[in-house]
Amino acid sequence: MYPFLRLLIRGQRIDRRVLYVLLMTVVALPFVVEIPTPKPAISPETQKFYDTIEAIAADPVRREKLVILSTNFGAGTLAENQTQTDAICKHLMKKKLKFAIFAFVAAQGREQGKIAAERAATKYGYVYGQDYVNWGYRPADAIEPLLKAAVRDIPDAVGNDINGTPLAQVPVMQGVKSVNDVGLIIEVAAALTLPQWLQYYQRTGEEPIPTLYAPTSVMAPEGFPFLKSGQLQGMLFGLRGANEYEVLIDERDFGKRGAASLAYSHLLIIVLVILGNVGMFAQARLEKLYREENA
Amino acid sequence: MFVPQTGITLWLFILGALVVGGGVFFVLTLVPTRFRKPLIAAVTFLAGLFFALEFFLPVATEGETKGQNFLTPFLKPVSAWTTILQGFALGIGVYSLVSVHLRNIARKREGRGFSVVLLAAIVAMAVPAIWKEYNPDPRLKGFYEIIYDGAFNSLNATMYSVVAFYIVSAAYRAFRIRSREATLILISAFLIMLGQVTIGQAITNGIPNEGFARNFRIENIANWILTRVNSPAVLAIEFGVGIGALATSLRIWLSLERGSYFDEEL
Amino acid sequence: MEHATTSARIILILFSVIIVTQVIRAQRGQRPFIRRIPGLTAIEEAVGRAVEMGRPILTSVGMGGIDIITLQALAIVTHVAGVAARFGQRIILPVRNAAFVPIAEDAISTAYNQAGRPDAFSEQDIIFLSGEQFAYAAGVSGLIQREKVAATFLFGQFFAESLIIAENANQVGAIQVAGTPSTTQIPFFIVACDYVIIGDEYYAATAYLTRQPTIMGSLVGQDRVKMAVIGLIVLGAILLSFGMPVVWNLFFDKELATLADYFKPQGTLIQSLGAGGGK
Repeated sequence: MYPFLRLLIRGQRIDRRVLYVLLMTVVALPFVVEIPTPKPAISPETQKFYDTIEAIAADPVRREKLVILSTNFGAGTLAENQTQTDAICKHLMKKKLKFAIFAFVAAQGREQGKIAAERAATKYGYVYGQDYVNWGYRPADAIEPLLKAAVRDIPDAVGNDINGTPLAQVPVMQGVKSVNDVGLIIEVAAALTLPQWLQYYQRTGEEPIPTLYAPTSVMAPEGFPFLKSGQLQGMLFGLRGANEYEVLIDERDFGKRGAASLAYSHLLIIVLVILGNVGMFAQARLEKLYREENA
Repeated sequence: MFVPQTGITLWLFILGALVVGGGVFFVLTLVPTRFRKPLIAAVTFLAGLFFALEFFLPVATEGETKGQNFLTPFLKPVSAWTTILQGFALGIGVYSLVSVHLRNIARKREGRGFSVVLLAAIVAMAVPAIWKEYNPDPRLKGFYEIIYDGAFNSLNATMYSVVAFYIVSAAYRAFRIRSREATLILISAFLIMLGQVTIGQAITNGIPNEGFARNFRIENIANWILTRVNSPAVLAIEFGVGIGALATSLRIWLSLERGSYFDEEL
Repeated sequence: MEHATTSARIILILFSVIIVTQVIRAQRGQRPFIRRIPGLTAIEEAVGRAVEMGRPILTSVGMGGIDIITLQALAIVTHVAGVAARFGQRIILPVRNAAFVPIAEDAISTAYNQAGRPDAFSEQDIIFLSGEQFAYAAGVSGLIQREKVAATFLFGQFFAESLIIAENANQVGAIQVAGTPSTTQIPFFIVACDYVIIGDEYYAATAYLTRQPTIMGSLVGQDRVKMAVIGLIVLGAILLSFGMPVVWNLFFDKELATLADYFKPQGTLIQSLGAGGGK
């Protein structure tokens, strides 16, 4: 009995370097070896995300309006946010919706949005300037006055695109003047940037603008209250949401491989936690046996 | 009302702004010490008053100015001014960084080697980034991409991914069944983790996704915990934080702050 | 909403008056009662441990700019410095904002002077690391590992770097007290730190420690506003259950023409996206 308990006790003392190597292996393996994983169950918020874009594309009036794709993330959250942005760009291009990329927290966001759009544009024949535009980056602390000004005059408030061209001269921005010409807001976020849209832009027009949210999984719980209240129409829950979304738009990419990584790393954590608890109970049992022996 | 200028008029405006700005700074240095705090309070109040009034004042309900009050047309220039101020803030950040590290090197402080590396990194990153905007040479663009995508982005992503390793060691250490609350955290963490991933969802794939039975599918259980348990708690904290933000903004706007930093002589 | 509706005007101005009134009353001498925050009892214990082990204490005021949250964090750190100064204990404060360094130096050195131990303070311990999030995190982690700190106090605005810092401190065996209004970082602090001050307790902690009238009055004002919000939620839920959306309409963002409109249902916030739903 004692040797068995002593073996179990080791489960709570695994060196953290061993933990790190195990994690690294489990995360990297799906990218090297094709490990089959089941298809994901589509969560309600991802389904709503997809359905919203489909509904807008099907509406003859709303589909002519501009979609604002706000890409507020940097290199740190590429796995989640870039995957989401790639899938969103593909969906928007598939449905022939015109969109504008914009960043105001992470300056890298405009580059990452640009990368996603260019990658999808080659497949769907989208042309910069004709079908989509990149508004570039504006400082975070100046975003509230900018959004307030953009309620009435977007080209004037935003100014130039990423190439320095005045927005009024960009073909895709023709006919886009005020908030009433915006049909959808999609916020891809690694920081808390959603309140700015909800407070200063979403409901300043003749009718509220449908808003979709694609945060990292750490921030996703903060989006649920807004989903419940109707301020958000859909949400992608980090990499899991991106994977589900790829299934819905039938464009499997990084989300599929990332989801396998995610699955096995979660399982690893669960196994380690179980081992740790088993070890803890085994230690308590062993101590009790020693006490009884010595009593 | 603020029309963009070009050519010689633009330069005259810039020169005029520098002269006026310099003059204002000079006059401010002449203000007696006992009037400086009230002056700052007055300027802070007026700056905030614009946005408060623009939001609170009633708007026209018809005509050309429907949905606007008399302050609304000024939103665009104010937006441009705040963007410009933020641009200066970026410059100040770079200035502070460079001056601190140059001082380290000049005073031969311990760790000055790192200051040298940092200053070299600033130059190595900034020079190609600015130069490539004016020089179409593809080698410059390539060099910039090596530094930005290859070095900076990769280092940033690497540091962020370190969090994953620390989560594993923290979870392994912290999730022990030592109390009722700890057990509750553990069970809900397991359910949510399994509900998030395809392998976990496969455990309950046999249960139909309709009717009462759907409540036993693991992804639905995880969703319930997130939306019915976690979400109200987050909402409650956000209420408090939001009201705290209102209070903080009022304290700054009305210059109500007292205490060592705010009561110092200027 | 682009401009305030009548009800928004009334509610916001009322809430503002409540908060400002409490601040002014506190500044004029009224001292409200604030209960002791559990995490704060650990400060003396943590400092004592550091003294016994002969290792320094690391503090951080977070990733925010020079704003109220960071200044409140500095107020807590200054209190910790005051306790540490009594024992001549060393405090290390890495900052991410170069402009914050003189403010921090002034505050911490004052704490040491007031404790009668100016010799124990060193300007070198207030270190500007970097404005970049992960460069700062890497710098703090390095400091923790090299100095083998005995205690860490992490207060202020944190983001993804919170777990990096907290876990590194855990690895060197430091006792940790953390407090942040950032809700997304609370779970990370809870698993890695010994004591955590959550959400609103952060504001209460600064009020409790500093006893500054402005912060105390502000805290009372906030609590009164929260009670009003809770009352409105309960009242609104009851009234809505009986088919009277009065409270709902108070917060609805369209200007309502008559008093009777407050008793009428106004529809969902976002209209259906079915075909023909647009204008």
